[in-house]
Amino acid sequence: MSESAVKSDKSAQVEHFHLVKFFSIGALVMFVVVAIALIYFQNNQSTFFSNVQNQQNQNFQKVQKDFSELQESVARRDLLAIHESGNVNLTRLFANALWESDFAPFVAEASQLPIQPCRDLPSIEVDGKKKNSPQKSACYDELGDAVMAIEGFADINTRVFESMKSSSVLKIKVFDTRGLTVYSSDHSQIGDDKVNNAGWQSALRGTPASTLTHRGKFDAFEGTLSDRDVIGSYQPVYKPGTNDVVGVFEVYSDVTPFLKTIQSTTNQIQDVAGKNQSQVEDASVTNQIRVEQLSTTTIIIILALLVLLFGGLYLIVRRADKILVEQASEKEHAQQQLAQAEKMASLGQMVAGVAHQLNTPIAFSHNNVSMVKEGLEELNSPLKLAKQFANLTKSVAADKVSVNISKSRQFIEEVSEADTDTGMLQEMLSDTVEGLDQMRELVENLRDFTRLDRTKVTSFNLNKGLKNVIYIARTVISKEVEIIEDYGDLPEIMCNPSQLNQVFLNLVNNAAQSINGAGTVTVRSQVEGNMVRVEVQDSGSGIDDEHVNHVFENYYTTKTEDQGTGLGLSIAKNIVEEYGGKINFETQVGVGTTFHVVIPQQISADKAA
Amino acid sequence: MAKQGLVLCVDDEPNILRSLHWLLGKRFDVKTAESGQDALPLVKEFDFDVIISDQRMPGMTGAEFLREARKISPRSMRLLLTGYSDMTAILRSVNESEIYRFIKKPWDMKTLVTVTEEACRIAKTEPVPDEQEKAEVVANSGEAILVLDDDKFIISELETAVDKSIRIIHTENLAEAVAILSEQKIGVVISNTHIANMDVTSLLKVIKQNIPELVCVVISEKTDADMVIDLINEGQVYRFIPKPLKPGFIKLVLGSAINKRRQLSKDPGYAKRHAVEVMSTENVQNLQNQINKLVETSKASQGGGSEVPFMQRVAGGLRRLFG
Repeated sequence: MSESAVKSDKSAQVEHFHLVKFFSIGALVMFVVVAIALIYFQNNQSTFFSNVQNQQNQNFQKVQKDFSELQESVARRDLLAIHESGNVNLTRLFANALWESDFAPFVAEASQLPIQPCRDLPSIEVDGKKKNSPQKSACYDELGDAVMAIEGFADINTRVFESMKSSSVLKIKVFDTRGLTVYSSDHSQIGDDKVNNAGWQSALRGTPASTLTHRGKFDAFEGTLSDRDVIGSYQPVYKPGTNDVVGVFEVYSDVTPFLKTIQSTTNQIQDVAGKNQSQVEDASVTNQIRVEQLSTTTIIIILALLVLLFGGLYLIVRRADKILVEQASEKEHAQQQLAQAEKMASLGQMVAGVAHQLNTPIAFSHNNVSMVKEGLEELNSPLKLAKQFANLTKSVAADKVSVNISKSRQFIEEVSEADTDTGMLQEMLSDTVEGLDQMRELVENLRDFTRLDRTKVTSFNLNKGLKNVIYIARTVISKEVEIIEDYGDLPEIMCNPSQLNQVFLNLVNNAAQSINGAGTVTVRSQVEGNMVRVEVQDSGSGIDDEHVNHVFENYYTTKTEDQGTGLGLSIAKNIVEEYGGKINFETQVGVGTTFHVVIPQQISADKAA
Repeated sequence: MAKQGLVLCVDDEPNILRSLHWLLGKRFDVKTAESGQDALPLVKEFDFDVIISDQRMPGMTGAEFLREARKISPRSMRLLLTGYSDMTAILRSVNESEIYRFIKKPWDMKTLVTVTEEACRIAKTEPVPDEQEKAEVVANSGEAILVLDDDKFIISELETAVDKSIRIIHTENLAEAVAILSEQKIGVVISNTHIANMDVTSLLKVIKQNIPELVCVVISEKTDADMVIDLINEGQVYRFIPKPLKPGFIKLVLGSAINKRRQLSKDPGYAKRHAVEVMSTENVQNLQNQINKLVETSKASQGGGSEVPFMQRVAGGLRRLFG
């Protein structure tokens, strides 16, 4: 049937939204983006963690280094301070033990020796440094010899050596207030000028000064020592009971073992620090590995979750899609059923109308034929008489015939004028023929209306269809409703006439039903550009505002159950729109309604099919 | 041959009018009109015995025309020709025009002639009741209203509609109804067409056939055109009212029915105007069987003592109805 053809074609026209496909692609892309972003951030985090760890390692290293350096410098400072104070005490000891009795007169005597002549001798410059010239050195050597030549020098020397033996003191020097070395346990240094020495100058001002130096070779009491760390202290010597500096002692003490201890402590600390450092580094490597493992695990878990999520969503969407497809097909099925129901309803109305339409000609034709039959029976006796008379005249040659009617007078009297009025019988029969013509017309119209139903698409003149539709419609609608037909010249269009007939029959029926009592329905057709326009106008009650927006809705009707299903206009709209046409209406309550149907002249075959 | 009466035929189809003219012209004086509007002046001008009208005509429907014609000429018997079963039109013609017969298109030649002859005879011989309706509803003394329906709403509506002087007897059993009809003085029967899936229309027809002065009002949710037509032709139902009922409406109908009953009981000739077609013997037989079956079942359900009086009661009713 054409109906199903239209429906299936319609479904093909509808652009289906491929939900599953779009979801799969769209969601997959989004999930991949999310996954990449997650991996990227996870990696960033791991890099950041690694950087932080490196920085921490460096900081830690620096802290440890600073700490060990500080520790060493503090230890050295302490060492220096301890030895300086030791040397101060030692100097006091010397001063107490040796100064008054031995050194004071000796220094006083040495101070008498002139130093200025040596100082006045010029210095030489070697590699940018001032050095004593050989004459100057010789001058100081002579001055030294002169000091050593002073009486009591040997005694003092002996006593100094005795006092210092088996102590940490390596060397003792004594200066007068001019800077002249008046005594040194290293005798070669006696006579040297220390006037420019910062330590001596400090001590002369009353402030002891000490320095820690490493010496490759050192002349000590016990002889020449090598590779020593020594602290040299310049100490002022005061005249007892006064604050007058009368000379300067220089005491050298050996701190090599202490420094070795300090060094070893520093080494130990550095060892420990190194170990700590490597532990921290090991830990950071382990942590990094752990973090990376964790992040890999996290990424894997997240990816797995994403896959799970995608899978779940996919299943849901696929199910939803299936339901949507089912619903769509159910809807389509329901639509088909609606269309069928509407067709059956209008068919029912049509059949009733047609039955009624047939009734009138059948009624009078039947009556007429029955009466003609009776009339013919009544013609029997006149015809018998006529036949007898004819036979009689045939048997006699003469022109004049005498008939004895005594026997048949009764018969003859029964023949009335009415009985022989064949004119009336003929009228009855011609009315009957008219009735039969009416019936034939109806049957032809019915055939036109339904025959076309079988052919799907054909070249069709809408005017012919409209005439047909109106003929059929007249059978149902009230006789008080006048139908005015106003057709323009229309080209034939390719269409399914049955469908368009259905549309127009519906519009004409609606128009007629909207009229209460007498009124007119006007059906117009005209060409409008490349469109064909059909108007169905009625002088009916119009459509109330409350219904205007629902006119084309399924099952929306203001009619009673036997008048309409509420499907007609909804189906009409479907059909017209399938043809690429439009259906709309204008209405005014109390004045009437006009429906406009516009259909393109050129309907592509696939649409019309 | 002398013509038996004056007949008016109204139809918008000229073929039908000619055909009717030919059919009836031999026996009656026939006048024709192509519409109700054209026919009304004729009704005023001539004293028609019978008016035959088609229902479906432009301008004025047959029912509308007959209603107007009844006002102008109450003594004319009214026949309605229908081809198309338009229920509203049929109901209106029953209730407003009080037509004598429906004639279905296409008609049977002999039947139409017979009905028209009969109608002519009634119109000529039987008196015309005074159509003036009484404002006051007063029943004949001692007469009751029989209600054959299982609808509680109808009963309660009826009880509030009439004053206490009018008795209302209610039953849902056909056999019981038959018994009541023989024992009591019943003026008006109000009935459904079906009670518990049992057809009551045959009983109503039989009642009207045998007690023509009884007034029948039918209230039903079933509005089958053919059924209503049969009820008119064979039962001369006074009013046919489709359910659901509007409140208060039944009072109007009942008042009118009681007045009708008063008219009919005054002169038996009035009732002849509502003569019915004789039911087929087959239908009568069916009805009798139905009632007998009902008596059997009630006998079985009641058992023992009371059955004999009930059977006697029903038998009395049956004798009265079927002779």
